Amino acid sequence: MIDLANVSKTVTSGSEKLTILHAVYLSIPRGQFVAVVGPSGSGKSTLLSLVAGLDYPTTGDIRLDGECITQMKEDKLARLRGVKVGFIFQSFHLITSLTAYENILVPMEIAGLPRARERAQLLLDEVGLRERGHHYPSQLSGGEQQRVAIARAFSNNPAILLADEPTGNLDSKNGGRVFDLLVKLNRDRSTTLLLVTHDHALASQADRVISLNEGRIVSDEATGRMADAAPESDSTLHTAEEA
Amino acid sequence: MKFILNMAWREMRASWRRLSLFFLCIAIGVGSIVSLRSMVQNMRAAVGRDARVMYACDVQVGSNQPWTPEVEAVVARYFDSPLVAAHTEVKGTQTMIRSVKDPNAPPIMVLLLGVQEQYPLYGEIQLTDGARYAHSMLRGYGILLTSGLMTQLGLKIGDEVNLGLLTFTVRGAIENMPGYGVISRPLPRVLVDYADAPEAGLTIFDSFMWARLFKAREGKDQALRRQLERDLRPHRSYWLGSFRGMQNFANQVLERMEAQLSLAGLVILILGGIGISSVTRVFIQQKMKTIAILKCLGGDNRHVLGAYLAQALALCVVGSLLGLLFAGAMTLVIARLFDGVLPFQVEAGLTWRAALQGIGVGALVTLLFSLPSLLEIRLVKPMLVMRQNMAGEKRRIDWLSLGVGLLIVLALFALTSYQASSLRIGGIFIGMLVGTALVLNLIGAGLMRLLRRARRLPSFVLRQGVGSLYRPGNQTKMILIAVGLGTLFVTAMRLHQANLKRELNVDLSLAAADMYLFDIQIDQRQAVEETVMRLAGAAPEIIPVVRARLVEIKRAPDYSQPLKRADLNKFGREHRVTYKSDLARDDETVVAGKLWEPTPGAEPEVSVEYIQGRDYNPAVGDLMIFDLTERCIAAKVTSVRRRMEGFSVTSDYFRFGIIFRPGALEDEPQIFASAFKGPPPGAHRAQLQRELVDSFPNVLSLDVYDHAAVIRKKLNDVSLAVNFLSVFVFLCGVLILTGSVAMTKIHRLYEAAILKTLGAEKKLIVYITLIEYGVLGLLAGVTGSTAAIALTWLYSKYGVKAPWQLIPSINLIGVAAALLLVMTVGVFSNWEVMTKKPLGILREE
Repeated sequence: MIDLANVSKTVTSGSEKLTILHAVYLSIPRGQFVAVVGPSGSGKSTLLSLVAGLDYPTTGDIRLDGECITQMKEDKLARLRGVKVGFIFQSFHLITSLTAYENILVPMEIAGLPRARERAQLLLDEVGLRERGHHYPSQLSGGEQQRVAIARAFSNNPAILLADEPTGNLDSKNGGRVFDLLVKLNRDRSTTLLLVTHDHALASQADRVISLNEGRIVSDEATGRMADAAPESDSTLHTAEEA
Repeated sequence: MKFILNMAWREMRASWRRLSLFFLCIAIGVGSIVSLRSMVQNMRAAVGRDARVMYACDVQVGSNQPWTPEVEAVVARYFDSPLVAAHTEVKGTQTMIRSVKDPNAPPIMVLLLGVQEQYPLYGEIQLTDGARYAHSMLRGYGILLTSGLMTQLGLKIGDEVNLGLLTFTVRGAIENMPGYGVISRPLPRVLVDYADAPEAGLTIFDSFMWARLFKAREGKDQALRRQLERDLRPHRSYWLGSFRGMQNFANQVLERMEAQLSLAGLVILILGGIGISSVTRVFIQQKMKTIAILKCLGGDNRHVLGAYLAQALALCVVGSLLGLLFAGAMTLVIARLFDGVLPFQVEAGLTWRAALQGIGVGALVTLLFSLPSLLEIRLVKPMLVMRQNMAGEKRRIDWLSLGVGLLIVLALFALTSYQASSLRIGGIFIGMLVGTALVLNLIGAGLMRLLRRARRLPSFVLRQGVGSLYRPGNQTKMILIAVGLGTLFVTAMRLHQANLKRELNVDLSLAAADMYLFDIQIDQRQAVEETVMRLAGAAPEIIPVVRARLVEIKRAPDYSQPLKRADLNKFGREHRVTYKSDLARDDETVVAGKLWEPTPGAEPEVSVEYIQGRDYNPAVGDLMIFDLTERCIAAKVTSVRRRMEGFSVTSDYFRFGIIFRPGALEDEPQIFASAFKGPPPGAHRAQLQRELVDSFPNVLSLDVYDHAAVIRKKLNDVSLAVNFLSVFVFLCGVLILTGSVAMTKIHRLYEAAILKTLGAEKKLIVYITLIEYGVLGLLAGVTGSTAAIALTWLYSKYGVKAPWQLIPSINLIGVAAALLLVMTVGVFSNWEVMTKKPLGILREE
């Protein structure tokens, strides 16, 4: 589903070049729940943004569902995201000028999906915010905002869900609730989930945990849940050195 | 499409407060254009309606000599023509009227019209007290006077007046009379029977004028005029006129007026555009995150750009509708301001044409000024949701933006040219707009580069204030461009208005001469001078008048192509000319060639007045051949003069289109004319008038004291209108610039809140703001104000070809106003952070 081959990212800071992600090879099969962990600055979010096509790698190829996105133009990438990728961000990134209901509606309207309103209402119900649909983000708590973001992420039935520390801005109680919701919806829809988190407890619930440090993959372990879940296909991982 | 419309609506719903300035800019721009255009279009419609009535006929054949048998025969052939519905003849002269019951009262010069029963062919003569006019009232030495003249002479119906050699009985007072264009003179009119006119007028040089008036059958007026023109062409000494000429003349005046008003509308529109541009830029800057999110959610540039463009256009439509309401109110105010200034009634209200034009222009301006900022949407990376600061990323040349920029400049050029009805003026405006924007951009870039190096500043306040000018998120270029361009156009408008008022004031001072004497014979010259000196206390200006018939004009440089006969006729054959060593009038300037030295010339030389709109205007080097009584002379055109615009009915008496250099005409038969300021109204003035009439019975005296008062009133009205426009433009400019500067506060609020959290007092934040905005205000003011000098100079010299003068006080006020405005708005826009707890602002961020 997600394939990365020799993907690296180097940025220029003043006159210096800084490699924030070293050549990464990674393959994630359809439906797998992968957690990416690592300290701040280890390259987790960079990896996520490259997979989402938000940024271009310096080297290597990224394929989503067999389609290479590294040479794709901005607009085509946007359309691809609209159809295949759902997002959940640490700081929610809801559109402040829209109500909760409208935030969920937006991706479906962009994609031109039929019965978008009905579906947005269903998703609001599913995340437990039936009565809060007409509220603006500023009128919602952090937990509620993140639930809206989850509903929005699932609105187009994406094949891939990318979550960047979705509980990072929430207290443990709310964080737990949001994570449970995310996992439940993910399992119900068999979405491929790539979750970036600091929280090892949350990561342990994934099928597979990848650890990053200084832009390199230092470990890639299948959890017990993965073994139980019997993945559809083999997952492979190796860094440039191993390759 | 559904997403685009939904998103546009939702954004408008959420951001209406922030977008209110956008909305206001459109409303003001559209409102001013529609109201100014509507007014002129209403005037034009009124002119069309009134032109026939003002002319009292369709076509007029006139002469200042008795009809020659040939001309009379030609004219008589038309009496039964199928083109003619009715005809009549009018005989007119300038003469003096005197009350019989008060022989000591000063006589008054009037325009005497001897009319036949059929007069007028259009409109009707209205008498006071609702009395009905009938031609029988004039029979048996009856006379009708204007009600104003009746009051002036202390007359009532039934009284008697002396007119030339006859005594007439007043049979009625005229309230309103058609035929303003029949033998047009700025004199009160009196009507007598056609048969009595010859005896009533004094037989003097150039005394009588004859006019045969024709009413054409429906739709035949132009054919009638053409045929008359063809049949009369072989003959001399007549003039041929049509109500359409009057309509065209009035329309020309209106067109000039429309150009002036359009200029004001254009300036307001550009100011509105600057406002729209600023609001869009700040709005898009604030919406960067939303745009990035939309791109993350699958929105491509078409979707996102479309949503914000739809929003801008929707605001434009609503703003335009508000602008129409605003324009409706404006036309009411303007109609009142111009009431009495113009010789016809101006209707309040909007015309559909002006309304549609206004909305169209508003939509175009919205699109043109918001598009550059909207195109920035394409460059927003979805990555912004992951990484806040992407400022360090290098940008490649954006060819699309450059291409669109070029298209915008061309479209603005077309729009301004259309608004000003002149490609040249459009070019000047857009050239200055683009040039000044580039200069301001360079100044902004240079300033930031310079300040980055000046790190070792002595105080924290200075470091912070200066730092705000170049640090990331600074608004240096944006404020410089908005305020600089705003200052440019507001100051330019003010400079132009001041120059216009100066022209009007010049004419006002000319009106200081309030008595004129004509037909002074050469042997009377000294005696007239002495009489005036004795009773008026000042030497009169006396100038010679020679009648010359222009027979040919040979064009420079080879003189082989004489002017066509038709053009020569249009230029005019019979001329009253004079000779003098200098212009001695400050309402004329030499626009081509050079005026002669004050010594007699070896060869005849002439200076000719340039009149805009005339088919042919002689150029320097042309040779004009005149037929004088005894001989022909060829005079070379050595200078072309141009007169300032304005009202100048009285000074027209002393206006000579053709002036000779001394040395050529001194031996020709000539009479003299004189102008001087008489004593104030009362016994002395009356004595002077009596003495002049008694001592020099052949000399025509014209007292224009009351007329000058009317002119002064008209000038004041025009002055008021000019001031009104100027204040209007100024207020619009201030409003729009205030909004534009205030919009930039968002970038300062967060920083000020942090400083306050760290212990900064209000005073400190105010000082920092004053330094930042003070530098920007000063630079923008100086640049805009300097550019205004260039703009008004170019506009005067190449646009309307009018005299121009630098008025430094206006430029200095422009700089000071820009400085004060930017500093005040800067401080007040940070007021929120000074009066509120910083926490709220930090949370919002």
